[in-house]
Amino acid sequence: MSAVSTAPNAPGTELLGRLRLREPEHRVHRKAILWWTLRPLFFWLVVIAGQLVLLNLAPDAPSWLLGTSGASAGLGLLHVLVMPQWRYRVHRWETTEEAVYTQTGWLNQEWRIAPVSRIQTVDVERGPLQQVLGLATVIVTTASAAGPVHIAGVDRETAVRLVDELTANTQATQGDAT
Amino acid sequence: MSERPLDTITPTLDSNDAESADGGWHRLDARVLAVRPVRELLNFAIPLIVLFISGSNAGDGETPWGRYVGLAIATLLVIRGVLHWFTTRYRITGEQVELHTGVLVRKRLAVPRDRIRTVDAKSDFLHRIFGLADLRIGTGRQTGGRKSKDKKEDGLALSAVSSVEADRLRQVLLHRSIPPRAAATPSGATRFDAGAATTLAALDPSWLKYAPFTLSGLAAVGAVGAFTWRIMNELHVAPDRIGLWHSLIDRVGAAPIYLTVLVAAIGLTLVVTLGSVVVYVFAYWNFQLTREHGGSLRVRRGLLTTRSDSIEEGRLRGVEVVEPLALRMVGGARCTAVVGGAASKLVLPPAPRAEADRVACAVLELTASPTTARLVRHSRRALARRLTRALAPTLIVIATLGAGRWFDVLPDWPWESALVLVPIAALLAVDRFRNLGHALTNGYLVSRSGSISRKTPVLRQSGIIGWRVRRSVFQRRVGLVTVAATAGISAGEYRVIDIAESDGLALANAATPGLLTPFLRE
Repeated sequence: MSAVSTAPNAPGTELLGRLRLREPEHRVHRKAILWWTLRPLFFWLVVIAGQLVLLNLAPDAPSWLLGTSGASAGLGLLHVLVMPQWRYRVHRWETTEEAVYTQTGWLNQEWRIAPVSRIQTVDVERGPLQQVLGLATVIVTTASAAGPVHIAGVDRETAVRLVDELTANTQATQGDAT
Repeated sequence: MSERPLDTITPTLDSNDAESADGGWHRLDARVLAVRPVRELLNFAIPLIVLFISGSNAGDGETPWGRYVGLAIATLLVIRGVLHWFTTRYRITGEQVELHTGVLVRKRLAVPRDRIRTVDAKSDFLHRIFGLADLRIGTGRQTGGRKSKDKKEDGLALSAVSSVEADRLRQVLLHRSIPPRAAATPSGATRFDAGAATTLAALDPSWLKYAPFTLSGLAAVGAVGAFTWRIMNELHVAPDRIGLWHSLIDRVGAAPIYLTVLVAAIGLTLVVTLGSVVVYVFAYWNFQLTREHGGSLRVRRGLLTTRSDSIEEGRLRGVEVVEPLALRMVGGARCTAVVGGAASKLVLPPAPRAEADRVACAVLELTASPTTARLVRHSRRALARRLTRALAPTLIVIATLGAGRWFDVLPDWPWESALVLVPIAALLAVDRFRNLGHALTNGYLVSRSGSISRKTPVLRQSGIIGWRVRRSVFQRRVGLVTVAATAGISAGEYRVIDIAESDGLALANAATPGLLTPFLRE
């Protein structure tokens, strides 16, 4: 079922048949796996510890709390073991002269394409955990309120190089960025 | 695109205040000194009245502190209103609009003139008596973090200037010569009319029949109810003490229950209908959509509070036809204009659907409205997705209520009455599937979706910035994706939901030729 009826030799319609998006060229840094493991760890520890504390210290703790703390321990373990590896296999990024292209997610996956000519700002963000691990997140904003394009989990040198590259490309192309 | 410099359009307006002797700084209108303190007092009327009354009710020997506090607060409010006039000045130069304001926190804002998207003037009853208008200049500047869904759009607020000055500012700020690239329409037509403003749409009293099918009646009843309850609460008036309420409760208790329910339902319907008609009249009386000769669209409406919203046409990115469920059943619709870098503005209140299509046409300056284009439907797998998404939460609710019954926490009727949600959810899901559709026509991307509120956004292809393709774990199993076109608009993006992967990518590729091509493969 073709979505659009355009002339066969109109630009951009040479590709017919079953279209798919290819993967972006670069992977993120391997240390990102550690980062993705540590980030939810804190949350899970708080949840499980909170339940255990309630169980042991509260005078009339309900018995089902044992069940839920066991369940959350199991879920937490699964999440922390599976998610980082999966994310590392999915997260990729690529920049050309024309566009920034990223693939992110694990259960739900998302591809984002933003043209270089519409980029408004390029920033590098490093949270405390990222600073310890030597990682960074490159944030590319456009005029769209749908949110900026994130390239997370790259190491610091790559991030700086990326920012320089994108800034140079953006300045080279003209235009009002809205 | 003909560029006409400002002085050939409006020879009597001076667009550059900075050239005048005193640097061109203007104050707000002097009548603000009278109006603003009254407004501040009115805003705090209820708490002040409560303070006064409870203060007076103090026993003998106790100082009526409530009265003194109330008096002090009232005085402070009046002073604040007066100081607002003294501390606010504005100026328009060739490139910028500057505003200095603030009493305790001084704010100096300078906005480049080419960032101005919209100029909105609002005059409520008090303003109209004195001939004033509250001006809000939309600059497309967004505060509140990049990821927040409801971004606060920071504009310049001038509260208040005279109506004449408001009109002058509107023309000066919006009718500049627009750069050719931003103003080019796909049809390449020139836009400046030689004559005065052209009326695109005006209120037809027959549209009132669509009023009861909007939710405004419910909202009005709710607001009135909440207001009354709050007053009663603050003044410690209990319903039992009112004799009328007592006799009403006695009568209700005596009558059979079905009669009570019936009468209550009829009563509520009447009240809601009346409320919605009243709200409609107050909001949309004298509604008029005009195209001004300087290149802007202007929407005027209002009975007690008149509003005049103006959009610079170069910033127009499309339109959206919105049809809430009830309105759709009687063939009505609303239309809003999608503005780049500002919130969408209403260009047609609830009216016949044909009128919405005609207005969309007129706003976009096309002969055939993209909102009436034949849309490509989505595959049946999208139906399965819609059904799952609608039924799963319903079944979870029923299961939870059933579990409550099983553990003897809840009685039987919650989960049994929740069963009625299943056919409703299924019908909604089927409707949502049937409403899904998309098209690429005449330089516009159309993507329709929704059931409770069916929206048909029409986005100019040149306004599309990039793409976001999402595939959830459930969509992956059936080969569907959701393709969203991101644009510099308040919604952020318009989505084509549950489309087959190949079709979605072909659509994106055709909408922005060349952008996606390096990343596609067979």
